[in-house]
Parts: sequence; C-alpha cells; structure tokens
Amino acid sequence: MDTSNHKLTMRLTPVLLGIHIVALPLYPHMPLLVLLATAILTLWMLLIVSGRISQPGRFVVFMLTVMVVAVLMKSFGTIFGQQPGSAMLLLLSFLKLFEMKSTRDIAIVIFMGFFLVASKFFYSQSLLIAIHVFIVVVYLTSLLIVFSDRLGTTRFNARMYKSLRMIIQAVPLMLILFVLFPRIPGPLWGLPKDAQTATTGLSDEMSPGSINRLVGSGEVAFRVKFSDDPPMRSELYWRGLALPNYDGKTWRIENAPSYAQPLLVVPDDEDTRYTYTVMLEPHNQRWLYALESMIEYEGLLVVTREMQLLTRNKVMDVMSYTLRSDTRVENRGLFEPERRKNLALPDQLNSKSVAFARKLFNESNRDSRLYITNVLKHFREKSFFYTLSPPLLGESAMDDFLFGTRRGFCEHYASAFVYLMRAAGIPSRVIVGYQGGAMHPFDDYMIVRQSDAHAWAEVWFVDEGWVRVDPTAAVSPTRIENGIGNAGLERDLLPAILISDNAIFQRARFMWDSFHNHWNQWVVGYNRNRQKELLELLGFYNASSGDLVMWLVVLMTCAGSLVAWWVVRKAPAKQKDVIRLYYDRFCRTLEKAGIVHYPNEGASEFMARVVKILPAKQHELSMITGDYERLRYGSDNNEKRIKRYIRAVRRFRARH
Amino acid sequence: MHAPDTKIRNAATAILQHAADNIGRIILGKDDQIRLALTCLVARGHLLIEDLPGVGKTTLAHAIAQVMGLGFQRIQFTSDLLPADVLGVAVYDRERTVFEFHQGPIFSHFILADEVNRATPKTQSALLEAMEEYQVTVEGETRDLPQPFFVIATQNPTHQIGTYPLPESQLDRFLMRLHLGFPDSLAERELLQGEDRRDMIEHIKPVLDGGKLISIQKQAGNIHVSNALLDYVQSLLDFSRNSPMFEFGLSPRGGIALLSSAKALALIDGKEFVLPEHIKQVLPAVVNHRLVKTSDELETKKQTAADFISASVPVP
Repeated sequence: MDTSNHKLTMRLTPVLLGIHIVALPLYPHMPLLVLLATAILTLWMLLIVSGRISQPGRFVVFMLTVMVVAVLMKSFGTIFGQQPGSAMLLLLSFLKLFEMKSTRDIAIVIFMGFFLVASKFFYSQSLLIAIHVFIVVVYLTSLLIVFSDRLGTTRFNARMYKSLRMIIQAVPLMLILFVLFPRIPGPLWGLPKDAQTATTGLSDEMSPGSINRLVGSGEVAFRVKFSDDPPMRSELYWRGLALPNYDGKTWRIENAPSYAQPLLVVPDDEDTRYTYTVMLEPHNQRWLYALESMIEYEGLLVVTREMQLLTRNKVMDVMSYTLRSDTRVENRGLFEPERRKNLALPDQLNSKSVAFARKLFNESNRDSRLYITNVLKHFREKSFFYTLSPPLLGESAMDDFLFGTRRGFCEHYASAFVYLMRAAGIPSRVIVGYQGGAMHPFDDYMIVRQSDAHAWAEVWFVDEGWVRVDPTAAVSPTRIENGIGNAGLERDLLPAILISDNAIFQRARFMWDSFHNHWNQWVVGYNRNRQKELLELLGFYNASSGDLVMWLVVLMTCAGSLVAWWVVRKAPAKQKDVIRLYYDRFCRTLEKAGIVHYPNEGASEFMARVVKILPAKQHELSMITGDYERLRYGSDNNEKRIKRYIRAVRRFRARH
Repeated sequence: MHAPDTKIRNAATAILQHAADNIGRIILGKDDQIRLALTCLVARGHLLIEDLPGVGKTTLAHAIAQVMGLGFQRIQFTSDLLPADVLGVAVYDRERTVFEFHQGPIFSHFILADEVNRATPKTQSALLEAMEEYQVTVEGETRDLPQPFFVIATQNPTHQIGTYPLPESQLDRFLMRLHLGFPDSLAERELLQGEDRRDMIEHIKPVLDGGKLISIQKQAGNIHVSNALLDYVQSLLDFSRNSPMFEFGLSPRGGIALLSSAKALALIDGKEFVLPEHIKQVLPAVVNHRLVKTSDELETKKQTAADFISASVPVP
C-alpha cells in the first residue's frame, strides 16, 4: 500500500460513522445475518483505518461481494424488493470503502449514503425520521465539503455551518417541488409484498383475546376532526366490521360481501348529524372506520350491505376521508339468506347455553325486547366480571364462560350475547370497531387509540331493523361512559398514556401527537386533494398537471435565482470592478493559449512567467500588467489610462 | 500624485539601491537577504538572523551600519552578561557626591546583538524591552534611545547546552527573521579570491546618515495601499487563523508588520504603491517566526508556513 492511499484510508472514520448514522433507522428492520455482516465489515474497516492491516486486494473484495449476495439470498431468498434492496445498498456502501483509491471513491460512498437516506422512507415517514434525515443530510454534505477541501483549512464547526447553510438554501426549492409537483393517485410504484408488515389494529376475525391484546397499546388508530361539536361519549361507536359467521370459537366476516346497499331510514331533522374527517393511521387493511351510522361518504369509497366502509386498496399510508353520520339512522334491510346466516350456530357444543337461552326466552313471553333486557340483567346481576385477563375457555366456550368463569372482556360479552340471541331465534351479529376517543386537550381533534378497540352486538327487530346492543355496558357501564382508562380494569395492563397522573408527561404526549397529526395531514397525507385544496386557497382553480409543471419551472427558476443572488451577494461588488474584469479577460485569452493564471499569483509574477513563453509580446504584456497594477493597487484612476488599459486588453491576442 | 513627492521618493529609492549595491559588493550572492534587511531597517523594525556561525551574519550587520553611516555597537551575548552590561549603570562619583549614569552599549543607533540565545532570559528581556519601547529605564529614570535605532540580533539554530532560545512571544518583537545560508559556488569563489571583508567594510563610503534614514522611513509610511491589497492582507491573516495547520494564526501585530514591510519594499522597488508581490516577498521573513505549526506535515513537504499560506490564498 502506498502512502498516499494510506493517508486516504486514515480519513475514512467519519465516512464510516456517516454510513452508520444514515443506516441507524434501518437496523431494526434488518435480519440478524445482515446486521452481523455489517458489524464484521465495520470492524475490518476500523482495523484498516487504524493502519493495523492493509487494504484487501481486488480478489478479496470480489469474494466479499459474492458473500454479501450470499448473505442477502440466505436472509431474504431474493435480492429484489424493498428490504433486500436496502440491505444490499447498505452492505455495498461498506464494501465500497474497501476499494478506496482516490477522493472520488469517497464521494461515491457519500452519494450512496444519500440513496440510503431515501430508502428509510420505505419503512416510516414519521416526523422523527424526517428530522433524522435532515441531520444526516447536513452531515453527509459536510463530509463532501471536507473531501473537496484539499487544503484542509475548514474546521469542524465551520464545515457544519457551511453545510447547514447549503441545505437551508435548498429548502425553498424543496418546498416548491413538494407543493407543486403533480401528485399521482396511489403509490408511485407497486410496493413489493414484504411492505405489508404486521401493524397493530383490528383484524377481520374475532376470537377470545383478540381485542384485549390491543388494549395494552397506546398507539393511535385514527384521529377525527369534527366540523361541529362531537357527539356524547356513549354515542361514539366507530364501526369497523360486522362478523356474522361463527364456528364455535372465532367470529368471521362475510366471505363474499354483497354489494347490495343497506336500506337506511334517515330522520328528517338534523339534530344528530355529524360531519367529520377521519385521519386513519395505516393498518394494512381495506376497511375504514365510521361513526354509526354513516349516511354520506366520499366517491371513491364503497359501502357493503353490512355497513362496512371499504377502500379500493389497502391503507398503507396515512389516509384521510370525510364522512357524515347520524346516530339515529335505522338500517332496515334483511334478505332471507342474511337472516339465516345471522341465526346460524355451530354444532351443539354449548347445549347448556342453548337450553338457558330457550328457557329465558320463554320466561320473557317470547318477546325479543324483554328477552334482551333479561339477558343483560343476567350479566349485570349474576356476578360477571369485566377484566383484561380472562381465564382460558375450553371446547364449549359459551358454556364455560356463561356458567363457569364469568370473567371476560368485551369480545366475550359480545360473543356470548349474540350466541344467546341466535339460540333464541333472534338474528344478530358481532360488530368490531372502536368505542370512545379523547378530545386533544389543546388541539381541535379527537384521538382514538388501539386501546379503545371494542366489540358489541347488533340485533334485528322487524319494526326497527338492526339495533345496536352493547352487553359490555351492562357489565361495566363506566367503560362506555368514561372510557377504558376509567373502567376499573387492571392498570398495569393499560397503556401509560391513559392512566398516567403526570401532567407534564401527558401534556408532552399530547403536544407530540398534535405535531404528528399536522405532519400527517400536511406532509405525509399531502395527496391530490390536499394539493388542490391548497392551490385553491392560493387562488388557483382547476390547475392541470401541465399548469403545475409550468408553475414549477417558473418558481424554481425564481427561487434558484434568489438563492444564487443570496450566495453571490456575499462577495462585495468592488472586488469585481472593471479593472479586474478586464484583467480576468486578459487571463482567459492567455488561458486559451495554454498559459494558466494561478489564483495565488500576482500580476508581475504571472507576467514574468508569460514573457518566457511569449517573448514577442513583452511590450504589450508589460504595458497591460503595469497599467493593471497601477489602476488596481495604486491611487491612480486616470480616465485615459483606464481607456488605454481596456483597449490594450481587448486588442491583446496570445498568437499572431 | 504631486511631482515633488515623486521626486523625493525617487531620490530615496536611488539611495537605497545604492546602499544595497554597496553592501552587495561585500556580501556576495545574497541580494535578496540584503534587500530584506534594508526593508526591515526602512520599516523601522528589528532583524533576527538565524544561521550557522561563519556565514556572514556579523559582516552583514557591519556593512549595513557602515553604509547607513550609523554608530555601530556590537554586544556579544554570553551566559554571564547582565542587564546592566547592556543598558548601562549608575556609578557613584565620590568628588561630586552624585550618581552618574554610564550609558551601556545599547545607547547607539545600530546594535548587533550577537548570539542572543546564549544570554539568560533576564538579559534577553532587557534588550527586547529596549527594542520595543525605544527607551531604557535604569534606576527609576527613563532615558530615550537615539533615533534611528536598529537592532540586528543573531541566533545559532543548533541547540547547544546552556542556551536559552527566544520564546515565540519574544520572536514576535522582531519584524523579520532571515536565514543567510551558504553562498553559491560562484559567489564563494569570488569570496575566496577577494580581499578581506573587514578591510572592505572600512572603505565603504556611507550613503546616508541618521537624519536621512528617518526621512526615508517616513517616506515608506506614505506609500499608497489600495483596498484590493488590504483585502489580500486580510485574507492572508484569516487563512492563517482558520487553518488547522497553525496553532493560533497571525496576530494583528503580524498583520501590521506585513504591511509596513511591504511598504518599505515597495519604496526600495521604486513603486508608489504596494503590490501583492511585495507582500509575498516579505511574507517568509515576516511570518515564519510568528506561526506555531500544529504538525510537521509542512516540513515533510519541504514547505514553510509562508509558502503554504501564499500558495493557498488567491491574489485579489
């Protein structure tokens, strides 16, 4: 290894550090094998940097490349796709460090770092990641400054400041691009399958434990902005899915959803109508949540017969939609096949429950309403408990629950209630969604968390249609009225945000949520509609993509000129006076003849050098140089001399 | 620009050129150093010559003094030299019953302080203070030194036992530091063939006297300095301060030194204004002893601090 090369490798520590800083948010998404490879390459590189071992030869680097591909194949089975792609970029960035020959190679690694930065957005587009990206970009730019400053004259602080200034100068351009670039509906490119990683949220089936598993999570499910006052807490039922199919353990959705529309009866007066916008966190599912019962929705959405609101694609980014609901709507439609489906019970595993239902129904004079009251009374009075840690149920789950454990969470009660209804011949189904939500203490929206996940029941009456019955309310009325945090549940199983008594902590959490919400609304969720809204706010109506591109070009040019002016402004005008400009011209003339004027060279020094090459021009050269020095460094500003000087420079030719 | 000014300036240039020629006849092949030494004298600065014994340090000092027509005193610094030996001492006069001050060798226009690094720091500072203040305080009484006052100090670079090399902060008191170096073969041949330098010095006719030197020094102060040139000086200073190569960079005093030397050199050159080339020519002598390098990276490239700075800063 020659010494100059060694000097180069010695300067690699900040670059190595840079790649690690860039890749930090990627590490949690990387398989162990890739992390191990990263660690080994880092250690190896550190040994080289410290001069303990020499840089590996071409063959070794080639073998390492083969091994990197092997690691990727072993971890992912492919080198294509989002995760393998970013893993490959990461490992290759490290590998590139092994073949440093010139500063140009370092520049390549730094540019790879910029790509790596972009790949982080595959995993998260949160505000934190954006802040991290900003810091990383400033750092990488400062590295570029270091390696292009061959004299090594700038100190760390000066470099960081310079880099920060450069990035801030780029911000107006970024904003213009962000605001005006035509938005393409849907994702820019098809994300590969592995993008659908597990996210917390309700699934399309319900079995004991599936909801109380969610209650421990303080994560936000969605945020809601009401255009007027929100309804009372006990009316806040956010409907997700109807689950009519039961196999003795699990409730499932209708497999072939019918697109026949529900038959809704909407009251004439508008006392109980609410218009609101839901900002849904990505949950990788097609269904959306709506306040019961929804009466108007946006055009791209679909409503099923079961009153489920669906989108065309799975929700992978923050999605916002505006709806209108009325809490007094009646849903009257019931076809015969639906009726049969909503009465079906699995094989007679729970004979005790069925017998109990029939007995109670007869005791209630076969009156559905009285029967429901009696069932709820049974839950209330026969020492049933509302708990987050219910005991496990056996084969005959209903019998075990109703006559054995009597301890359960909302899914147990909803499930048992629907079972008892069906056993008595009343069509009914389980509904899952969220119940409740807390207004943000100092911002104008409501937060619904995963811990608000809930299950309830719907019962069919001939005269009223589908009616919501929440058996949990019978067991624990406070759950519905005061929220999950105040339902007397085991505190250690609830998320800290709900039960913390620390006011500062609470406030900080809400503040952060508020930031996050604005970020989601205006940055991550900046889609076609938002762009349209914003442009209309600025007075542009019906802007086509072509108009946008035109505006983009115009504004970019303006902003670019502005930034350029800001940069150039620093250089005082007097430095570029006429005398100097003509001298520059003189130097350019000579440069074309192959004689380059060095920036650190005085005019006389330069002349002495030029005269040796062009002895025939000595007179002209010495006249121009003499006049230049006199005009620029002397106190002489004789008009005649200036004219003579300018004329001489104009006439000057390096060759005959 | 008034004609009489030009005339006076041209006369000053002619005298200085004449002086340089005369000295050049004695010190052979060292025209650049002679020019810089004269520059230093015209810029009212003191000169430090750092080189091996026997390359002509004393001869140079002697020749300059002779040409300038100035009273010359040589002080050989030794480890037992006391401040009083330099400055002078008050002796009690028994007959008149008063203390009478006996001036030391410092009361002279032109001092050659030979091998300053052999004296103790106490004696060194006595000299350096006199150089800085142009006055001497002995026994509570302040006495002005004669004007013009010029010190050439010599220092051996070899680190011998019992020497006290001048610290960086004191090196700053010298406007310039020069190295003489060995003469080239042609000059050496002439030196070997020619007559004794000592005799030659005695035969040199002085070209000016103290009064004329002072007026020439004033002339140098009037040389025009353009904004473009000040930009250049400032970017040199900025560069030295921001570069990680140097511990602290040049002080404002360093900047003033640079400019006054360049003005003096412009006068010697016969220019009515300072050119960037003048700055570049005085740069090594003025800044190399003022900068503390952080690493020996420059040494390995055989570059001095001044080379590095002037190669890095563009001329405006």
